[in-house]
Amino acid sequence: MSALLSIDRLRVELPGEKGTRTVIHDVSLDVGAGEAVALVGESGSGKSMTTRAVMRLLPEGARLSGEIRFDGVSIPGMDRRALRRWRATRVGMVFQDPRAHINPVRRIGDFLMEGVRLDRRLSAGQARERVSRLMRAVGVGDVDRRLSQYPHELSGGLLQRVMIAAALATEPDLLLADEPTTALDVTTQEEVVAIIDELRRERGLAMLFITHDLDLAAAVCDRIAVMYAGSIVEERPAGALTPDASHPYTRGLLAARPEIGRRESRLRTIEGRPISAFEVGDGCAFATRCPMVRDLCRRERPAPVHVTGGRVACHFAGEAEPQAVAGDGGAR
Amino acid sequence: MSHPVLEVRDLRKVYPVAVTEDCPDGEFTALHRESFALAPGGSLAVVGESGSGKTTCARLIVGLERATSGAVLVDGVERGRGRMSAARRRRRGREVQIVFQDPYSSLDPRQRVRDCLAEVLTLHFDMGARQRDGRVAELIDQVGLDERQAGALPRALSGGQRQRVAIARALAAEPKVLILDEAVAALDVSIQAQVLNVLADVREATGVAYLFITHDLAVVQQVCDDVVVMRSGRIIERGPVADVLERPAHPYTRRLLASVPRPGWTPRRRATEGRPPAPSGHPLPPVSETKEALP
Amino acid sequence: MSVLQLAAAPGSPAITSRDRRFGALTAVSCAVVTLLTLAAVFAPAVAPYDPTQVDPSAVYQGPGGAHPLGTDDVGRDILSRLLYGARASLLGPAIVVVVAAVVGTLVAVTAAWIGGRFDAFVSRALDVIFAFPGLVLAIVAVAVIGPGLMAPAAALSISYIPYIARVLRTAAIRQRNLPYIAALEVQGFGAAAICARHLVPNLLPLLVVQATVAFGYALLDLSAVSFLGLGTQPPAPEWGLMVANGQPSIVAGHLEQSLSAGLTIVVAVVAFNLLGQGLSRAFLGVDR
Repeated sequence: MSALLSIDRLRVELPGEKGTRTVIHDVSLDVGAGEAVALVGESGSGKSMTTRAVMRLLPEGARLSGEIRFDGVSIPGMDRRALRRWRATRVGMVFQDPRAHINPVRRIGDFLMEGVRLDRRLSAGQARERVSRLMRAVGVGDVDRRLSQYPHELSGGLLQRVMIAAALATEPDLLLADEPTTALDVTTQEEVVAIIDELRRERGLAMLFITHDLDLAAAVCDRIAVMYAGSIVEERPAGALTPDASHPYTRGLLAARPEIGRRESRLRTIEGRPISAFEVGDGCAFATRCPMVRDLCRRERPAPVHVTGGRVACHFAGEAEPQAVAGDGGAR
Repeated sequence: MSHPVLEVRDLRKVYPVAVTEDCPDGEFTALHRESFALAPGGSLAVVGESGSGKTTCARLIVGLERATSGAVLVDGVERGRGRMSAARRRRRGREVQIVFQDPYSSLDPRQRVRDCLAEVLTLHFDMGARQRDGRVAELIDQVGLDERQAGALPRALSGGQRQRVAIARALAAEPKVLILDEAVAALDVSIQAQVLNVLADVREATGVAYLFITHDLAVVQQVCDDVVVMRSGRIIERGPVADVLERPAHPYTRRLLASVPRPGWTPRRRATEGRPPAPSGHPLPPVSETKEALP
Repeated sequence: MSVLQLAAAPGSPAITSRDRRFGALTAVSCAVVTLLTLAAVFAPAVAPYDPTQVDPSAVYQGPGGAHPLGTDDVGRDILSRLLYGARASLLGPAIVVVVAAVVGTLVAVTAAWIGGRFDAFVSRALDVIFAFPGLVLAIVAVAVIGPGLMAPAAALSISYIPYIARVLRTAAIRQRNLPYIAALEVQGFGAAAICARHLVPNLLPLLVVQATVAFGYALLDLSAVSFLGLGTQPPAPEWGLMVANGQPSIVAGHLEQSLSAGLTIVVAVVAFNLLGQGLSRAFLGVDR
């Protein structure tokens, strides 16, 4: 395998009040060099926990099994020094809330310079030049003024661009973007996503993009993995997912989202609420909410099967669902 | 058209702020003398991004903040402001109710769902215990919750369920207008759809009018008949939802529509770094976006 | 403000074995507090002797025998004096804490609700009171009113108000800004009803924690006042007073009175402190 990032049967358990709780269940996913892959899911689906496992940012007491390799090197196996070096030079991260990840009392310029000078032996002048280039690359004008400002003087959208610049400062191979636009207005979201997309393509950067928005994921990623209750239920090329989703959960998600220009008397809902990985019994994680559930689904957890361009974890993948269940009020 | 159930007339809100170079007069106008009306049983969306003044608008209408000038009328009568008698306060409560965005802090963490609804019913209506219990059960059923959830504390409920409780609590006062301030924005897609359906059912069953404050255009068309689009404290476009979404007249509305991810959508960088041109002739107030400089 | 710091660190998932030890300590401190309270209530029933009974034939008797903890310089039974002493020693802090808690909560909630200039004024006023050491205030009160339990207790009640009010005000402002309070306002509930039925009950865990810790400190302060001879007057038994009374005897090699009374004070103060911290942890766990 020549994947840049390769996650193989990842399982994460966290200590809870009543013993350990599984939060990630057998997640396998590859991100090739220069490829953009989206992890899509609702809250509690384990998408953020997966990226935290990749970055080795799991909470204390978490137990991890399975393997995560970056360029062939095991990440869980790295010692502290190697891990620090890897984090500093080969991956960039962008988070949902930029304000929580930037020191509020340091100027933007100092913050960026720190990133740039971390790895390479650049003179102060060269580093400054590089920072300016980065800022222009993420679409920030009036660079000098911006560099002398403090985080609270910048709007959320602008700050997120600074975070992207910081993530790219060391020319990483992989960008981990965890809901980078969720806290932004739609118009700002478009800008930021466009910037990420453009820079990524220019630099041949691979990306793992975490989001709850399937349409957004489809717009900027090559492949999409849909997560539910700690597992990947469907993984498909971005273009194939919307017209041809195979897993009932993916279909439900697509149908539940209102779409402009398509007003329905009632939205089709997925009954009940999303569950967590540790609530899943022996059967399929989606069995409790699935409109086409059968006995087998409750008994046996489906293994991923291949479908066009990807894989689906469903016993009855691709089968048409009964029309009668469409559109009911919900969590009863 | 019959007279509107809710009318906002020349409503204006100015906040004092620190004097900076962006804001030399030390004033920030969150809402510029705007007016709109809501028909009985209607559903009007107020759409805008952060800093557009949409939430200020909601808070002014329910009386959580006081307008600098202008009036809010319910059934043609101006709503009271400032200190008032307990009876008048309760009457105001039966005019307009509100559901907030955050499901996690919208309920008293120590109060069971049933008690929360009963408390509101006791405040507004003179009814016996039996009658009240019946009404509580009715409300709980109306928003799609069950008996078990009725006896639960908020922490035992999911975000979507809490939001249903907040809706039930608002409906308990039998208001003429229900303001939904980003009420489904914090919910997961699958849960959002459930709550939107509940809202549609409730309107049909009770005839309550909605003022739907949101940033999400896709949700608007699902629940609303009319829409006003706001930006920087001004209404820049208004009309029936279908018209505005299909033939947006204002460039900002077009931009807003174009930014919504949908199948086949590609994000585009705009020509300018910051934002599209300002509404004609007015200097932009110092909302957060103006922090972005023009290149 | 140790409680505030504890409250600032919400339950991280990485608390396991250390947490359980904390639980044991809390249980022990809870038991100690309960025992002290029972001693105060049932002193007449459990004390072997009259605490003020002078017995010239039995001065400076060592521990053991008829007097489990020995006798003092005039032959009074030390154990009995400790047990009876719990009454005055705990009543004082109880008055301080109850008054400070009631007034402090009222002040905090009113300031948080009204906000603006009134809140700023209240905050400054609390800061000013906080700047006066309680002990000094108590001594001044004794100088004005005269010695006894009431004067220092009254003075400390005032100086402990900021202890409660400052922490509660911050929490009350946070509650005040939550949408559930706004929803109740929109419903048409009055401010008093919202505060009494919703806001204050949600502050109660914090209030209990803060009051428990304050109780320990108030006990220490009042003991000091008595030690100086300004509080409870002899021959009534009180722990601080006993430490002072036993002092001359120490030179003669009779440590019993000062030592036992001093240890009792230390154990009581530590117990209240630990209980406060334990409750804080427990409530945080419940709250979050």
